Amino acid sequence: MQLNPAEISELIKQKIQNFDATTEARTEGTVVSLTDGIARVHGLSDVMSGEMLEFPGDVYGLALNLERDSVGAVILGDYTGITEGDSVKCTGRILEVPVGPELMGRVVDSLGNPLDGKGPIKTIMTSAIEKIAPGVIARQSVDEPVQTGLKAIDAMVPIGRGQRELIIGDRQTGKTAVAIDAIINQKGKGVKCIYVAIGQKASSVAAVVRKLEEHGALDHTIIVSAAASESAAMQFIAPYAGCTMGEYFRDRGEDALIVYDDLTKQAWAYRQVSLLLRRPPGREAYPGDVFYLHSRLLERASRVNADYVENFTDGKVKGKTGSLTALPIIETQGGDVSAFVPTNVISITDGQIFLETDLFNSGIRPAINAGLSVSRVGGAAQTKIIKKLGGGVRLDLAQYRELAAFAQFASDLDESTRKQIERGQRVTELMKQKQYSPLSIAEMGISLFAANEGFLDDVPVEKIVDFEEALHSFANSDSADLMKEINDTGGFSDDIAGKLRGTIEKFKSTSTY
Amino acid sequence: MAEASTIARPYAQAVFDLATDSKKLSEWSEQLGSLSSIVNDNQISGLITNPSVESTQLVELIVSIAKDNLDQEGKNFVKVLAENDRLIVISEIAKIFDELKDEAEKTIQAEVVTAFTLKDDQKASLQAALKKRLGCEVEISSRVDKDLLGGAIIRAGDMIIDGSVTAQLDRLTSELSH
Repeated sequence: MQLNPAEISELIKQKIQNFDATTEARTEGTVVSLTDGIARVHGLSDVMSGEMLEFPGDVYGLALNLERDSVGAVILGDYTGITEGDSVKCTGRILEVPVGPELMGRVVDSLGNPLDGKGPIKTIMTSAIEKIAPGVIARQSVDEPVQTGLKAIDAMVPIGRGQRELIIGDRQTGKTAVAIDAIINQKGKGVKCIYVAIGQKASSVAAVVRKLEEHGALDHTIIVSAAASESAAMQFIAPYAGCTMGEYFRDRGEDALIVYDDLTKQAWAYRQVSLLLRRPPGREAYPGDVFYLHSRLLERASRVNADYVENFTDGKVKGKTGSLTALPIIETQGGDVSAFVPTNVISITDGQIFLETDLFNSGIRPAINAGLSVSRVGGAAQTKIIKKLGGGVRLDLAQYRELAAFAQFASDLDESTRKQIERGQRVTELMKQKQYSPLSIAEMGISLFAANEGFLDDVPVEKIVDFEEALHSFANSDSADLMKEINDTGGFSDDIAGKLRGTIEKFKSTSTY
Repeated sequence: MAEASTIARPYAQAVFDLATDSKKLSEWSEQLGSLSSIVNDNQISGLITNPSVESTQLVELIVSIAKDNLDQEGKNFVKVLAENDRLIVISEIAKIFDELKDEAEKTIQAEVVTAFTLKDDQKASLQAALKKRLGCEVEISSRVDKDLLGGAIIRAGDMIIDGSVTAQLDRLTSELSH
């Protein structure tokens, strides 16, 4: 048997000495019935809505329905030990989870208990999972980018710090891959990440953890997992728990990124809980407050100003703004974005990245539909060079979409139309990017510059991917100074344009691909 | 049961209003008490839930068992309940009625569970302390439970004041194991 560090006699002595032996008055009730994780409790006359209830055997519940003669509560965790007639105590507290930097690199459940077998997490603080989002006075506009490292996103649907950008698409279209790439790209950039897995296979979560570990991205990431085998209540509260962990960083003047993978399953879990609590079903059998379920969650992702941070930390952190960027994921069924939950979340977020099965299967990965994907606030946050060069790409793709149907009659088309189609084909090809290989700003810049200035026009379409890869390695070794300058400043000037042109021309004349 | 008390509440309220108007609170309390003990009898409750027994037969039966314990209004009350097929909730009605009565008379029933038998002066000081805290007259009933080891548990309505040694040990256990 191994001795646990918490079992050192000195520590035990301290704990016993500091133990608060005062008696407490609490209201008590009795379990009347227990069905599918929902307990009906009689008594508990002064329970609050959302209060934590204590069941026998260290099991906790959440009071959700307060009725005249009974309280409907969901049980968090294992409810097999609870029987009819058990006594239930009020705790007088709202549900809380541990928060703090100690959670970094760990996998926890919806209540903050470790799941990764790396021992206890020594957090100092806990915080309520349901909080009201910062008000208008506390906010600041989004003007700094979150670089996802994916050209297609950073160029066409840029994401700013504090923005909510929806990732939507059918199953198997690479939604999680986009989010994981974004997390990997935050390595060394000071953005803390939280990945909330809701209703996924435990094996999928394990695969994500392993990938993040392989790319050295686990150290700045907290993973909150409510796997498919967990109760619906745990799946329902997981996003709120993750959000609270993210708010810890936002409120202390840091930047955080949270991924909810995915909110469709959370809505299903909430639907189950609501129906079992006998709340009236509405459209698609969801309860009436399913919009509020997501709006109150996503509203907490925000950019807060320096005054708010200073107030919150009692003046310890001065002159720093905080942000929590949210990337909610929604899975559609058969491309139907007009279903209830997708339309709700589309209307709540500041834009969406639309992924399509057809594009994915034809080899365009990430399978982003450039026409339907928008970012409503990210433009203001884009790096200067990407903003300058990305506009052309968007236009090329838009014109290409109109003409793509005529592509097969290429020989009968006039010169300018054919040119547009060829440009479009090359840009589409250029937007492809391998998984787990985020690009720096300079690499993105040089690719976009090459496309805008027509350097790709004489490269065969099927060679574009190789061309780009070779160009990047050439630029990184031959023009390291230029690349560093772009990465550091993000600026764009005639001088930089000239240097980029020079680099690409030199590459084309000397290298093969 | 939660649902039974929902059904019972309007009946209890009606009886309570009637009793306050005619100033017969304690009489009604006794009547309801005896009715609920009749209904709780296994044989009677079997008859009540038996669909082949007519409600008029039930009324006659219950009234004949209760004999002098029921006045005319009490008999009418049994009739109303039988017509509405709600005889089974009489004990709930009695419970809610007593709560309403206690509330109106500003008294509360408190149960004190202790490890050792309470002495009279201890009881009196407990009563005084509870009166101060709850702001109403307290009627104490006491019970001995050796499992508490020491201290006391006080139950007054939904409120529990748990000062027993067992509870403190339990809390110490969970404190040490976390």
